[in-house]
Amino acid sequence: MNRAVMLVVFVAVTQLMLALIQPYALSAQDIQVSGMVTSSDDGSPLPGVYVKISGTNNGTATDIDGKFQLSVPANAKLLFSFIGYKEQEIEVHGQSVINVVLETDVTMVDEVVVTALGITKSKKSLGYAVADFSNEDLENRQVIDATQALTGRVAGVSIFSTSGSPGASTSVIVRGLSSITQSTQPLYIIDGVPVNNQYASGNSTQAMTTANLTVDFGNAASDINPADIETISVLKGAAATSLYGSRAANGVILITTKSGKKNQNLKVDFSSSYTVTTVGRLPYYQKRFGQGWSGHFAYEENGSWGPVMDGAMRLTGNVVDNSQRLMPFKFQENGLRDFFEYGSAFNNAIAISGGTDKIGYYVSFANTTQDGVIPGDADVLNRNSLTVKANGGNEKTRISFSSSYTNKKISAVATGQGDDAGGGKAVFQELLGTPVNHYIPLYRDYNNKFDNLDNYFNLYTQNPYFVINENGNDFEQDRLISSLDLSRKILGGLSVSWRGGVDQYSNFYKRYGAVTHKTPGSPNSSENDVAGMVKEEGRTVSQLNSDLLITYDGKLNIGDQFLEYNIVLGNNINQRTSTRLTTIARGLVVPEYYSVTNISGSADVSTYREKRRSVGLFGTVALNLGDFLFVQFSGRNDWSSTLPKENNSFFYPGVNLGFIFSEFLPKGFLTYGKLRAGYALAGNDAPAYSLDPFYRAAILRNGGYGVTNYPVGGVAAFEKYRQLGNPNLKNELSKDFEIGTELRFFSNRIGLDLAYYKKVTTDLIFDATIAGSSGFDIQTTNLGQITNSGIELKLDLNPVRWGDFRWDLIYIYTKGNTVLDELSAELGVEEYVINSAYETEFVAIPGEQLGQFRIPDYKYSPTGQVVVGDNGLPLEGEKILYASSVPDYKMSLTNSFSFKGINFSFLFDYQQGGHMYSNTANSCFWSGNSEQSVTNDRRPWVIPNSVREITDEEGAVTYVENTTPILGNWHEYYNSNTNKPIERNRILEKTYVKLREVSLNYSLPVSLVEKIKLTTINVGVYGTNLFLWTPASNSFIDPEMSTFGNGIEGLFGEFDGLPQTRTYGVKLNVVF
Amino acid sequence: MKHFTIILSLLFFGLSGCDEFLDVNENPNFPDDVEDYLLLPSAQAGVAGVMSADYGLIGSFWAQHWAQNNTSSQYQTFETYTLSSNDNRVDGSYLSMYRDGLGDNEIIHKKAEQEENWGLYLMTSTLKAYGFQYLVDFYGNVPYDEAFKGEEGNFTPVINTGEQVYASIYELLNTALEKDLDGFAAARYRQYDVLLDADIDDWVDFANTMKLRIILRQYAANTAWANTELTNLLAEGTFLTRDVALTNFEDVDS
Repeated sequence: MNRAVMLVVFVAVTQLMLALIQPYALSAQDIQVSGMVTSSDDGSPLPGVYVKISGTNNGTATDIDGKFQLSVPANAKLLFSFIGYKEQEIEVHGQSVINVVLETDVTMVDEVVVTALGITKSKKSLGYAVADFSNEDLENRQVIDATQALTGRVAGVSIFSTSGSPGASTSVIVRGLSSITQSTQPLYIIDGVPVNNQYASGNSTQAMTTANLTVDFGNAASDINPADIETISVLKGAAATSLYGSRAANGVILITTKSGKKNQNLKVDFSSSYTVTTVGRLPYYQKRFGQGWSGHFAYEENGSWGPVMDGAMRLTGNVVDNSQRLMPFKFQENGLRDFFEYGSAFNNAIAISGGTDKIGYYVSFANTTQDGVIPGDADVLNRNSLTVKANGGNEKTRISFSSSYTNKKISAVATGQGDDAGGGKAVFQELLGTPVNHYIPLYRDYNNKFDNLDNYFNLYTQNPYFVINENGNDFEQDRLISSLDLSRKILGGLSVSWRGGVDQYSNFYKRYGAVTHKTPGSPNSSENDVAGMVKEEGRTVSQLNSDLLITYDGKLNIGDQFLEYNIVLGNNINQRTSTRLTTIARGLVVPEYYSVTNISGSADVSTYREKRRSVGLFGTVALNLGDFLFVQFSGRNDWSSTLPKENNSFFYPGVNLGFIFSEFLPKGFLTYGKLRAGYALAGNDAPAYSLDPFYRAAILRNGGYGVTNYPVGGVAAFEKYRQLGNPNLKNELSKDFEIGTELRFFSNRIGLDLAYYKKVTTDLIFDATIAGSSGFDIQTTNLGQITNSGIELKLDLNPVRWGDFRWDLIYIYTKGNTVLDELSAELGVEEYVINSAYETEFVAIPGEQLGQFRIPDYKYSPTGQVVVGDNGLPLEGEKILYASSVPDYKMSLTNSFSFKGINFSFLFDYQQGGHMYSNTANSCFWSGNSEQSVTNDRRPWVIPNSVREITDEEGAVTYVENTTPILGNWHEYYNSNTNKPIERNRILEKTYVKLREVSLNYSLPVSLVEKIKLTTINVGVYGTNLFLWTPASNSFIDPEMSTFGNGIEGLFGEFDGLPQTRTYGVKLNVVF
Repeated sequence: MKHFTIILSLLFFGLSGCDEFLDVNENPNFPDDVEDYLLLPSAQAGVAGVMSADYGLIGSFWAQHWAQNNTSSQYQTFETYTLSSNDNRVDGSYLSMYRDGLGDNEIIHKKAEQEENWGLYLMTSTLKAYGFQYLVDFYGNVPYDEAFKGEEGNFTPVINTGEQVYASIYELLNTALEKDLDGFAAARYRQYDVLLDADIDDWVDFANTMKLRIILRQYAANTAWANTELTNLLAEGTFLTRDVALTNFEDVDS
């Protein structure tokens, strides 16, 4: 930096001297001016700099050595401009040599961004907000799922991973929920080709709302090799996404991958990282009371409702062969935490790219091997991916090809609640059912006589080591994403291009649950034996896409301004298919042989196929007036196979505007200012096969208690399914308005990006109730409206820039609100229960924020006192809307410090408000393990301000002060079965502060690196999720988790989900 | 210009074959039509199921033929005569009768009428009468004439009075009994008729027995009419000598 400053001073002084010495040329005479343009960074010459005579269109460009030569009027001004550098205007003043040093422009003024349809535009020209990241922005730490690198970095977008297990999915919600029954995840596009993003749940035969043995194998977008990514753009509002028509209402994530360039020297990019994971937040346990029930010690109990732990030695567990364990009756500090082991993730990626004078190529291979925090290899992930890309052509014709193959194998542990029907128990639920005076790793060997199924100390909880070792979920997937791109310039500004892509994956999932058989007469034989089961499921999902584009660029002169226009017309054809075959066999004959043929009866088989197609025509006209006013009109018409034939066409228009008002203000501390506004429509696909009624195998009502499935008694029967088709079904439709501003102050030392959005989504798709006497009782129809609105703020600060040291801050603030405006009482849809567990319902209620937790309230006397029953426990009152899942606001702060090659940065993330249901909390209250279950040290206490209700023979009601204490029945007080209003303890506030990421990177100096013939060596250490603070009411879980998938059902909360994890890692990146 | 034409035709090729290309919304997972005999068991078992597990249960408690175990509480609302219209037994069973049992019955009924399959017509008419008699007895005024017209867009069927329904089902039985029942392909339905094994004589008996019950229910209200009908019926009619019962199932081991 010092040298550059000296250079500038030198040049300036030279110029001054030359100016003084050189006589002024006579005015109006043209003189020859030459010179050299260099970069302020390192003094290197800059080729391709545009040198223009201000006020005219005459100019030239600097050559490969940064030199230029131009004939100019002596009193002219020369304008030097180049992307990435600040423009300079220099008066000629008769000088014949003008050397210029251009300063780099570190911020985004002339940056290019990838926008819809893969069209790159300068960020300046956009009338809407785009959050874009290059691979350098995201490489501070190793990620396995590329979208997770965006967590805390994008205003208005909520990103979280549903658990810390290997292969877990990521939920991405852009600007709030805009659907209740259809998809809530954005559309993922890789190099212009839409890719599948289905959520792989280990439970295809049950709804997303099930809590039974849930397994998460990730969402399809998480398969992309992060090392292949060049840029990620997040298109948030419909103004940006409208060109994707009926799939764009939830935003679009555009990923472009790295490719080789022509004439590029062979480049090898190798990176390797090793990450250690540890279990994160576990519930805080009380340390006072040990195993037992109702205040008495009970050696077989799964609760901590026993006596005070006095540290004395006690006989514990069952008597086996005349012996019994002797253990101190004290709190085991790490009794639960030590069950988990250190996990590891080892990631290696190598990419080779280069180019001849005709072809550029890119080949990469990556392997990720991950073992999670569950002991042994019950939770592992192994992923390999191979990408091959090539591109070539000349100025007129270009062709490029890309193909990426990924194989992923996952073994996962089930969460939620276990069953006795065969699948077995769920480990975390069993862990939570262990009293606090037990050190769980002690029971590791489930074959030894004290800890086997017969004799395990706990009658109601299974040895968790048995659960993880004898039951399993194995998943393997092969995926191919391939695309071909052809483009040709025709004449002048007209060009045509075609892009075709395929994304196909097939996976196989096997779940097995062990046969458990307890020896008759053994202590645990009173609990059910389990007959074992095997489930095998195969699935294939495929997406084919074709885009044909005609582009025309032109430029007009209007007065002394120019008008650039860019017109695109296109056609899109898309097909998505999926096939699933599931076989479930229950009641294994030969234990430990997990095959669907290993049963005496026949297996349940089910299958499902789906196919849908759409055709779209779209066009956009983008106008650029003088580089200060940008207007874009877009429109897309989609025809979809899932809509009624007579009415399957839908039009999505949009318009956006950007105005660089700073061009008209005198240069001052405001370096750059832009106003932008946009309004557009986008849709959310209607489901397939919703239009026509159909028949299915008959299912009979059994008086409201279960059903009987035909065939019965050897007779097959079919019934007409209850759903009436809808000849008027439409896509869900979002109308999105956005307004914002981008301001840069003090030469980009301060940058502010502020946006306000309001998105109204109508025609929500629901099953409306119709009169059963019509022969049908539901019809899939459009009704209802949701409004999402909010503000997004991003502040970029560069407070310190001193020599080689700089300090940068990025502050992001998001405040969003989601309200369900209406459903439709006339059509029998007054509310919609999204998910539920025990006494909590997660409902969509018109007029409220979307996602209300409804629970029983206390019963109150007319004077507001709590009414209790004869046992002193509160009675159940009315149902109330207790809390909402919508957060109040979120903010994140990234600090980064860099000095020469060293970069240190950390990211804090803060969310305020929003709620979720936690069954971990429920399990802890139920078992008495929770530190919140020791009110009054479990001595008798009367519920404050409580009354009993007395009704006499005439029906008159009086209230009498309650004197019945909670005594011995604390488990009834904390259990929402017997004290329904206490359910509110399970609704946790999602407020958190997280130190989400810390990283320290060092790039070895170029001089050193070149000595060993390499280009770059970068080493780093990083940590994620290092610190979590939650309010006192949440002493249970990390609020960013879910066992119900990554859609709206997932916002309900978690059901005994595995804890999130903390990671620490090192990485190395070498380029040569 | 040549280029332009090619491009334009490529661009619009999607539109010309468009309709056929997009015609893939037929559900491959479920049939859109099935043979009439496959709907027969679900129609019969659907009605029988609601009769025994819902209405039979309620009636038995109300008549105090049954009482529940003193430690149970599921049937408290029955025993205390505090059954509400929101209760699943009342609401869910109504829905199931129309949507499931009688709904499927109506599909075969219409088909039978169209194809002049009078044996099947009699079977479905009798089942319809049976079902609707209980609906009227339990709920009072229920839709009959405009029921089952969901596919024609009628979601608000007119509610007929009990008398109208009784009259309609009586007439229906008469119409069905007057048809020519020879040539009924009993073998086709034998396996699927879970009530009377497609024995058309038994169905005639069943229909007559239904007529008898309809008459007897109205005896006090319409004595004159009832007497006339009764005389005619007893003169010509044959009545059930076997149970109409769904016995083709096995209890699960508890």
